[in-house]
Amino acid sequence: MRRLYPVGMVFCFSVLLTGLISFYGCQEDIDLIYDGTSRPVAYCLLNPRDSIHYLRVSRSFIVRGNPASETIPADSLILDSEFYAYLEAESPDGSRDLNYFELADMNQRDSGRFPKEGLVVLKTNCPVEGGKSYGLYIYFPTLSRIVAGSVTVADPIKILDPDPLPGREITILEDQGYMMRWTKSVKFAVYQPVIRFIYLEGDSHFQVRKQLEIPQPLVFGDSENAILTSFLNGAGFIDDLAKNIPPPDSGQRRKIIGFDILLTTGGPELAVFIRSGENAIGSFTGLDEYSNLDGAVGLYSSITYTGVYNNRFSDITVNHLADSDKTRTLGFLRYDEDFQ
Amino acid sequence: MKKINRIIGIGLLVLLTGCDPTGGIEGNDEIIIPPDTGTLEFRFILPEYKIPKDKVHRISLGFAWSADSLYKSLFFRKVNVSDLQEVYTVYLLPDEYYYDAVITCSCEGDTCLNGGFPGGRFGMKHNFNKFFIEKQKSLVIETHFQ
Repeated sequence: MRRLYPVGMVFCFSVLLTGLISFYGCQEDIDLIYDGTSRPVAYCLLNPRDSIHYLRVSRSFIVRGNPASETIPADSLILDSEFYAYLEAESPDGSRDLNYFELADMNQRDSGRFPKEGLVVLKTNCPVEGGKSYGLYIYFPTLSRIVAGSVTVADPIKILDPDPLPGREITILEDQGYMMRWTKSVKFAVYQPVIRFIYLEGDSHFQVRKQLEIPQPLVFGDSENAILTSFLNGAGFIDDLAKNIPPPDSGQRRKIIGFDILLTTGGPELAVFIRSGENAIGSFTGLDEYSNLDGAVGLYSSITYTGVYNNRFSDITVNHLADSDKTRTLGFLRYDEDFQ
Repeated sequence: MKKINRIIGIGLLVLLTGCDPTGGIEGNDEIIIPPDTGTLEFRFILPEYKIPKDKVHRISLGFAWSADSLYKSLFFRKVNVSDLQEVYTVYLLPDEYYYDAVITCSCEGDTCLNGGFPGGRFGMKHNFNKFFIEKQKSLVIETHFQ
């Protein structure tokens, strides 16, 4: 009898285990989406060339279905909790200046799929200086929660080349490019040059000014060099013109005016964020995982814009764009020609 | 035995690293020198006047086939000059050419005029001459402004 007792126990357990597996193993209504609690989401980019700075505050939410095609209800973005936000700057005497954000009346916005009604945008009037540090705080009194972040604002930079001096012209051909140069901002900042190609289109009676913006690859300021560069490939530039400017209507011609260089500088946090999207840093896969704000998902950084305008092309470049196989159909006038 | 292993190791290292045909060449900076050309190393030296150095600028560097073309500013090639770059390398077919290097001054007041720039601010000074390019040979030109 003693020997049969463990065998009976094993049998009983086996029956019980099989029963449990059969009962729960076939259950199909397992909740795969965990509702959880939403987190604050905040974006703020300080611009040292502007005295007004904007802060967008919303909350994270779950999209049931395909996030790319699902319609987002406006109220999904709105944070229910009461909060107030401020920028903190350190004065030369060591005291701290607080600049509170107030609700901004945003009638317009850039492109995007989030409903306008759900976007809470705040603004503050506070000049910021390049190279100085500023703290951002969002305080939720009812939740006893604070979101905090700190950035060193990107210094405005100076574009060294091109320098539109009287008489200086730029030659860009299939086999001749151009080296843009500018001074470095804060360490590890990110830069994006954009070429704005400008021309007149029309006939002898009426002309319209038109332009084409050609973004150039990002430049990361990781090196110790005081001057940063971006090489504009001549063949690539001419290909971009041929690809993006359609032939003119019948009877219309085009006269090349010149080009502007627009340079956007983003702070180191923006550089890391951009790289997180490129999977350059293995551990980040997107904004869901990258945030430089404590207690929130989001991005707090700085951005500044610089430009060099009215750069002229040489006669060689203008004639090449008028005559070359790739751009002949675009109707550009030669250097010595005018609308007739 | 250890010695042989070391020799084999060093040999493998040399083979693996020494045979990289792309070493030292980077994307757009790759320079392919046409075999029929000669090289011109143009040293565009800014002269020293009694003017702050950062107020004297390189304006243009052009190459013409003849003295007449040079006079009419009909250049077949123009180099993109910069105040941050002194030496410009150009590959040309063996022939006789003319160059024209131009500088200007951006000081305010009479400073540019006193520095010899005609007309004062943004007045231009030229340095031009004839030169010969020989196949597979290198020529060095230095600018000398008055």
